[in-house]
Amino acid sequence: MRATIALTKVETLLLLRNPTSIFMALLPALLLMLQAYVIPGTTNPVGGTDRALADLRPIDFFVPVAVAVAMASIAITNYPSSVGSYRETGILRRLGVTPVGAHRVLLAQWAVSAFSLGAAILLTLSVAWFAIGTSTPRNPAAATAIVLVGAIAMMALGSIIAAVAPSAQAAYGLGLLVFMVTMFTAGIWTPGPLMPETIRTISAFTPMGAMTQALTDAWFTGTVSLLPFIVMTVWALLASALAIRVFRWT
Amino acid sequence: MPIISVESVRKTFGEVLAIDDLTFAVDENEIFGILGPNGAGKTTTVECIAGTITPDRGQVTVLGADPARQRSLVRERVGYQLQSTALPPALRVGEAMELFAAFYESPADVGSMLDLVGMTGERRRPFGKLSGGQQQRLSIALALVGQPQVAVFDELTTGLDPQGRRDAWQLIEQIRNRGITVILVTHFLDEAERLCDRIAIIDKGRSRFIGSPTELMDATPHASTSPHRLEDAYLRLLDQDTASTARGM
Repeated sequence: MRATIALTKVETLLLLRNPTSIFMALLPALLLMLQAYVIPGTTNPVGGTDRALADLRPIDFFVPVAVAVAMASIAITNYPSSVGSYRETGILRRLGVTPVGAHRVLLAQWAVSAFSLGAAILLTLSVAWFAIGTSTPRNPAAATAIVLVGAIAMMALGSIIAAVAPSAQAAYGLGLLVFMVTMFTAGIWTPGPLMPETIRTISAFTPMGAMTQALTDAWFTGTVSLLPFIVMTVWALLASALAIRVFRWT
Repeated sequence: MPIISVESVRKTFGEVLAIDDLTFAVDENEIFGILGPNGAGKTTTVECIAGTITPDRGQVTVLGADPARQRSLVRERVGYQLQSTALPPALRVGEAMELFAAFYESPADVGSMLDLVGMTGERRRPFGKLSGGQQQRLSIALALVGQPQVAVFDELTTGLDPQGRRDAWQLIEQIRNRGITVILVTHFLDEAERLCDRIAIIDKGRSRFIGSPTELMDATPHASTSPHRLEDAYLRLLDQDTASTARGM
């Protein structure tokens, strides 16, 4: 425990000394929210027969997606890149000959990523609420629980890349590839109810799909089923077990 | 009773044979040198002792334990300074020492370790701003902060200026005087002659000589008058091996 706390303290200090990486990770989510200003029609009500949704604007459906995108950006590109650079420069090799284990190194990275994730979510929501005037979630407790479990699932997915990427650039490249796939399952091009039913069903079994669909439900209808929680938990367990198994110090 | 034993160890990386049938033992509180040309298998040998790679064949025992299987036990009691390692550039000297101290069950006092390596005044300096010599001195302090029984230094003085090398030599002698067994991987014959009680010369993954530097010099004819007796004896030994390999082809 002492080693994990010491590693987390050092990682936090290093992050505070070089916070630029967080801003890069925030870009995709902020760009999504910018659509409200550049794409015509995104702020007009969608209409239709469903009274719960008729008054909402397309940009509103992007808010849960943007929260998930901000999280994925940190968990899948930022965090693996940072571990990749440790491997590339021999920092991991040095840590590998001390009694500290791979799980502690990754755990400290998780702890410090939690700060970045919190900052990313807060910034995205601030833009959504104050600049675009979007609604707050109808079920904030469920939305919080989804964000917490979703963050663990996404970090576990990022851990597989972090466990093997030989360099920061390799981790970033691999992360970007996974990020693009998760963007599709998150419904970045077809948010909320706009996603075709078959793709929506398949996406529901991916960690990002499960998170955004559940978050969208918590936001606009207020009711969330148990399935997305099960999907995210299974992904979290499998991915972290795999990451610890394949972890390389060099 | 040896504190480290390497018995008939073989390690290949794909098609490349790194070490083959390597056997030697290190006694308690000696300074044991591992020498050999580039690519001879010295670092692979050290990595087998560190448990970061597992031999294909043979047995490595460190303080009675298998370093590849009982990793945490061995790493608690062996301090390593490895080639091609680094720390985050923004991490300060004092922070690095406190961090590494937290990894061990009964760490040494960070202040006295910095004092030992002459870096008390650099406590707040970031790793990226240290000179090569200072980085090496810090890596010695980091290797010793867990109060190890064995310290392994892999090409510690490579890249240092003459004064830096002399300082590092003094430090190694002080470390041995504290009762720590030292394994020193080096390219420098003068370093081995000055510091090592015994040396192992490895070439093409096999051990060519194990004994004291004096034994190597005495075993080599025509070397007695040269001011570089150990270097002559070393080169002659490697020449003999090359010649016998060529004859065998």
